[in-house]
Formats: sequence, structure tokens, C-alpha cells
Amino acid sequence: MILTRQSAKRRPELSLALAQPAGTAARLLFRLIDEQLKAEPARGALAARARGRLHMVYTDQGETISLSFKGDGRLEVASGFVGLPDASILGPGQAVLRLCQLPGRGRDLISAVRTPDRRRTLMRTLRESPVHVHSPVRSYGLLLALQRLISVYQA
Amino acid sequence: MHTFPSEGWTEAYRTAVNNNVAYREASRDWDHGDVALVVETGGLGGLPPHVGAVLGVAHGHCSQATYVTSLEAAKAAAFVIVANYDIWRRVIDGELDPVDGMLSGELDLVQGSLPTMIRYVEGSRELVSSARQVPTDFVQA
Repeated sequence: MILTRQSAKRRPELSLALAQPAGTAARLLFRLIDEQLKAEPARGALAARARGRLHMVYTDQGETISLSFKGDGRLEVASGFVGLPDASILGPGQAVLRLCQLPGRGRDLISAVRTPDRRRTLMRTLRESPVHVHSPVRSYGLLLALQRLISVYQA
Repeated sequence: MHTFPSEGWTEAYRTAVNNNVAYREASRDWDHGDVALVVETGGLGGLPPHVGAVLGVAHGHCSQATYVTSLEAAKAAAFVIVANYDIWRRVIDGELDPVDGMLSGELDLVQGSLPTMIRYVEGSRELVSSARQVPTDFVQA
């Protein structure tokens, strides 16, 4: 008998859903993630494995988005507060939008700090950001999964 | 003064875009196609239901601005942003930040890649905000 080991790991696919009724902010985030996944499905690998709930609160627009990572390859985007969050992101809409311009992958982060000019840009973005992130260490995976999905950063 | 929207206004807008140094800087790498700004007129002043400006933009420069009188014509552009007359008026008057308008859904990206638009969010803001530099007369209801 010959035993073979499958060398290529199967990458979990992310199934995305938008709960109805959906507000403008939730629809916009859903569209962003959907377009990102269609262009690059591998972005969803972390999110497909993640389990927990993340709230994004747009403090200037009075809108909240709940992201439910089901842990079985599903991610649901909903308007309003859905359940208790494991992590939350609070800030004005434009500031939260700027999170999309931060690197979403490790190798992009290296690129983002490669030159003094890029380091200054990244540090200024982080330092001046009025975004507050509340998360216990055990929920960092949710933040990383989200960042991987929404980052439009180009090295 | 130019009446918004009109062929004269569109040409003056092109000049305003090209005079906007912040736009030139923020969109230096832009090579993702033309951008159309479309007004839902609601028949205001006898205008067609949709009118707009298709901007031939690349690398921080607007080489051409075409006044169009239908949504179909505007959709020749890679990116199409639609809003009603009052919203565009607030943008031109400086009362509404274009990015806030997009986040609130008042300015609707009906065609084009949202990730690309977000990547160039400063350029998008400056492109639309250039309209503030055009001496504008508005159509009265």
C-alpha cells in the first residue's frame, strides 16, 4: 500500500451574507468585502475560520455594523447591534474608512515600513486616527480577518 | 457664471480640476478609467432626467470633460457617481464633503470598483470638490 499525503491544503471559502433590512453603512461594507473577495478569494481564508462577533460603530453617522464570523466559513454583515461583541471598532465614518488603506497582509506591512517616507505615512495614519479599537487578545483574530478583507492597500 | 449643469459648466469644471494641485498629487497614479458625475434632475428646469459630466482623467490630469444627457451615455465611463440635484448643489456649495456623501449613500457609486475608489479616496474627494471652484448658477425649482 502506498500512502500519500496531500501537500496542498484546501483553502476554506468564505460565504458572505447581508442581513435585511440593511442600512447604508452595512451595504457599503458588504459591497466592499464582496468585491474584494471576487477579485481575490484568498482574502477570506482567515475570516472563514474565525468565530466571534465584531461591532463597527460609526460615531458621526449613528450607524452600527455587526459582523458575525460563524467559524464555519460564513460571515454575516448586519445593521445595528447584533448580540454582544467580542471586539468593537468605534470612530467617525471617514476614520473607519481609512482602516481600509492600511496593510492587510504581513508582507504588505513590511512594504509599508520599508522606506522612511512610508514609515512616516503609516505612523501618522495610526497616530492621528480617532478610531478606538476594543478587543481582548483572544479576539485579535477577528480584527486581522476583517483587515484582510477590507484592506485596499497596494504595496 | 455657469449654470449647473451645462456644457459651459462642464468645461469650467475641467479647468478647475486641472488647477487643483491637491487632486493632481492624490491621483498621480490613477489609470483606472474615466469618471462620470451624474445628476438626477427630477425634470428640474426642463432638464432630461439624467445629465452629467464624463471626465477623461488619468495621472492627475483631466484631458476631456463631456456633457452628457443620459445615464447610458455616462455609463461609458468606468466609474459613475449619481446623486440628485440638491446633493450636488450641497457639494458645490461646500456644505457636503464628497466622502461623507459616499458613506451616507447620498452620492451613489452605481458603477465601478469600490475598493479602487477607496484606494484613491483623497483623489476622489479632490476631484469632486474641484466643482467648488466653478462660479455656479443653480437652476431654480
